[in-house]
Amino acid sequence: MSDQNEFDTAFQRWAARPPATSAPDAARAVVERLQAEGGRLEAESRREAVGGRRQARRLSPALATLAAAILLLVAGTASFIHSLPSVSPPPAIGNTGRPTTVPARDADVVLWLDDGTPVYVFLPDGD
Amino acid sequence: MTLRSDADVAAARSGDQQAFGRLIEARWPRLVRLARSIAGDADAEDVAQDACVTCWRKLSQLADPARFDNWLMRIVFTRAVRRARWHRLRSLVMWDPQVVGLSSRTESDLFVEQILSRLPPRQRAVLHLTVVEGMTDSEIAATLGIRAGSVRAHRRRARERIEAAISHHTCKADLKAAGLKPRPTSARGTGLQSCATPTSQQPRS
Repeated sequence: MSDQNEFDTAFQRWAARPPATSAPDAARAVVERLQAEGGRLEAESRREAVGGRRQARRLSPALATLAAAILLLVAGTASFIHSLPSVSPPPAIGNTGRPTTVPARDADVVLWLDDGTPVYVFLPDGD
Repeated sequence: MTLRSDADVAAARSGDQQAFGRLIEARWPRLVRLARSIAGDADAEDVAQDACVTCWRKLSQLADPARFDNWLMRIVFTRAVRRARWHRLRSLVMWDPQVVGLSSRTESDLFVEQILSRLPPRQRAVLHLTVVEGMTDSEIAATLGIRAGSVRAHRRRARERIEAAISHHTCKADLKAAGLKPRPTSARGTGLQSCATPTSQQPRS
């Protein structure tokens, strides 16, 4: 650790060297640069301020991408479902052409009005 | 370490360039020190001045004027890191004596620069704020915009690299004094070559 301490001391000494430009000169140079660029900087900052307000109302790129992806997914799914062949529901048992109930008596005569509508005729016994 | 000049910050926010100049004047050596540790001597003052101009442009975005110092230091940090990365390929030129006038440098200065050049920019920044500015972990975290845990991790890695570099340097100097060459084996993670004494060149007694 003494090596590290020696390094720290050397580092502090190295860092403590004064800058080539004195602080007043540097500050003056910065201010002069600001004044030289003043008009342009003010215009930029105004534009940034306006742009910032507009940007706040805009979607961020990530959100816009996500929204586009969701829209594409929905459209693709709808298109896929639409392209599937339509499947009819299975026919009801009553429409198979056979009566759903069996006549209670053996002597009945069955007439069919159509495929699913039986008509039972009961003949009197002893005829 | 915060310089209190809230009145000047408020005046600068309202467009007073002279007040901004006073803010910069009071902080200039500190800004250059940070930039120097991260980007090197040749670029330090350029980086600091560019950061000051950026600071002026974005002054209206400063939410809390009391945090002006941390905010300005972070701008310097960001610009210095960007400059250091940009000039990574010419890292040797960055420390070139002809560029930065190293004629007055001591061997200790050159050694510090050699070690700093082996650290990534963020590790240099954390080390600088710790060793030179004497900041706490939470202050460094607030300045650099990272977590305190990351500050500790950066410092630990920097210390490991420094330790390896010092060992290498000491060993190399010893070998050189004995007229030997170090074995060219890479020391992992340090960017240095191992300085183990080569058995084939052991002095015979």
